[in-house]
Amino acid sequence: MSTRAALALTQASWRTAKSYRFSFVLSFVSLAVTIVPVYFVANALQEFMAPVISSEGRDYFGFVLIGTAILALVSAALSSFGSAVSGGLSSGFFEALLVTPTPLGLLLAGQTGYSFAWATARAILLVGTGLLLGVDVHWLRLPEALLVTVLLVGAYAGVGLIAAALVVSFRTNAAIPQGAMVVSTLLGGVYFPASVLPRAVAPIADWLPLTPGLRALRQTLLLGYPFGTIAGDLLQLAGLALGCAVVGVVSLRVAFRYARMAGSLGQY
Amino acid sequence: MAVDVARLNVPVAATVPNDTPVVRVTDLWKEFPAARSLADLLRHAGRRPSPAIADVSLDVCAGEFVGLLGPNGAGKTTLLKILATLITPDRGTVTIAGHDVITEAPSVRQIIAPVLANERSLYWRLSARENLELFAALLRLPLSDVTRRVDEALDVVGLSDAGRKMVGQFSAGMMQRLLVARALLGSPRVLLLDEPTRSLDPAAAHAFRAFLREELGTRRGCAVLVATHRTEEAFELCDRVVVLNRGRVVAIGPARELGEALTGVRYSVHTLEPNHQALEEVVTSGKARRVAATSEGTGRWWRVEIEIDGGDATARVVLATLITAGMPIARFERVVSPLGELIDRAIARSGLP
Repeated sequence: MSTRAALALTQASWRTAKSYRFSFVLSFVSLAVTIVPVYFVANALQEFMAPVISSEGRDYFGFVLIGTAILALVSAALSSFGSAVSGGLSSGFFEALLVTPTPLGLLLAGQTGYSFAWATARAILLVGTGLLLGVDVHWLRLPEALLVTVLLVGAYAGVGLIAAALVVSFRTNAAIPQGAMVVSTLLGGVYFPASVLPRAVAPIADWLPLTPGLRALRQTLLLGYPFGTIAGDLLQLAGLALGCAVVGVVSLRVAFRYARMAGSLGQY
Repeated sequence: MAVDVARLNVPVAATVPNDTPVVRVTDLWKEFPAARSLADLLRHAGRRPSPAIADVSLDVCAGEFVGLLGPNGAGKTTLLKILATLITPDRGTVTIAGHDVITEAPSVRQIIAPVLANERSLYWRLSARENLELFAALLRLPLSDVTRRVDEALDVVGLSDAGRKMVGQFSAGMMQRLLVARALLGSPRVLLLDEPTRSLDPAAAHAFRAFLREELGTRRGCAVLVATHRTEEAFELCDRVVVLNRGRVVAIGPARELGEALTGVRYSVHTLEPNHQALEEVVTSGKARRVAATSEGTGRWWRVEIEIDGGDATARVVLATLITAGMPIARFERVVSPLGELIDRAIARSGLP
């Protein structure tokens, strides 16, 4: 299957974003600047947080940095499919894409490619700034870290596809991306480990892909744990990613079939 | 930026279509669910929706232009979208060059080019060329052909000089032509046009129709379906028109013949005396029917429209009678009936509400 079409769509989004030069540059600069206050706050809390985060890292700034960087990718995975479909349907652009011979999967990949590339660039910039500010990373564990990141994005992309399916069918995402984002940010271990959550909400955290994902990621990158040590979390994450992705793809297929029957693909 | 009609050097509506059907629609039927939400479902429980398309059969040959006419909600756009594989019909068959639109949708998308979407389906922050290059990739044109095909498409619609200009700076007419250029990139065999001249002024619209006729009909031999509300589009561009009402075909045939059959042949009489005794006698005798009389500019000259059955031979007799009786006539000419009237009469004759 040719990926040229998907790359061309991503490139078109990139060219569009690039044409707004000032805001494009400013968004990068502001991201780099916002991490600096986080550095000082994290250092101030270091003594208090050190025993709490000990199973996932020693340095609280590094702990928060990994959480924030991954959150950028999770946000893109959750929202980009629904946004692309919603924007495309309301402008009529999606209709123009659907009458080309390019398969739906490639169209969606192309429509969201720029969002994912942009989120990846933001995550890299965050980590890069963190490195400059003294975060210690075990580079040898990079392959494991990349695998965890891919599974995390896959899991949340599945949820994003379900939201896109709802947009195609009912013109609303039922606040699924926003809800998933809020719950994951609060309970998934972004700013504090899930182990400190009250007993009442802990089971919810166990079902969030972010919980085992961030734990495994920090243990490999910040503590240098080998593959065997994170295998349990990795397996749980892989199961969640597979489940979400399958449900997401099936939902989207059903939604498009329904929209073709209902004639709602071109109602904008 | 206007299309050069002189260069095209063709009378509008001049081609003779090939008689091989490229588009074949047989007993097509489509109903949309009445309920689009839970509240609708409860409110309209048990109500059967009226069909959007009902038993429509139609063939369109290579090089032929077919106009789809009808009031809003008649089913024109639904029919185009079924052909474009965007809507799945409930029953009946539609084939494009032998490919079924449901079971062979990917093959159909290789040979159709719908121009259904509006100008917002273009990337406004990219140049015309970049927009076309993007769609060249989506249409899977070989990389080595892209530059040539994009150049050709821009040239054909008269946008060569504006190729590097950002689309957001284009006029509505230029965007419309860019949409057609985009449709032509993949060398389609069937074009589906939804009101192609809706955002053009009358002169630009006429030039654009001449261009469509020459490029799509004569040069490329495309089968073209045009949904339109414009009289000139139906009469200048289309070899045949199909009048739809409530999803059903109520009339089909060459626009002029259909117009004459449904509304009679219409003539315009430019006179100083719209109520001249001779004209009244012609109307009373049943040789002509008075349609309308409108004052022209200064208020001295009037334009009286009459319908005459029996064609030009009867019209000559009527004209001779009027002149012999001393009616002051500056001009006597055959005119085209308004499209709305043609549609209304076709619907009235069909007996459908």
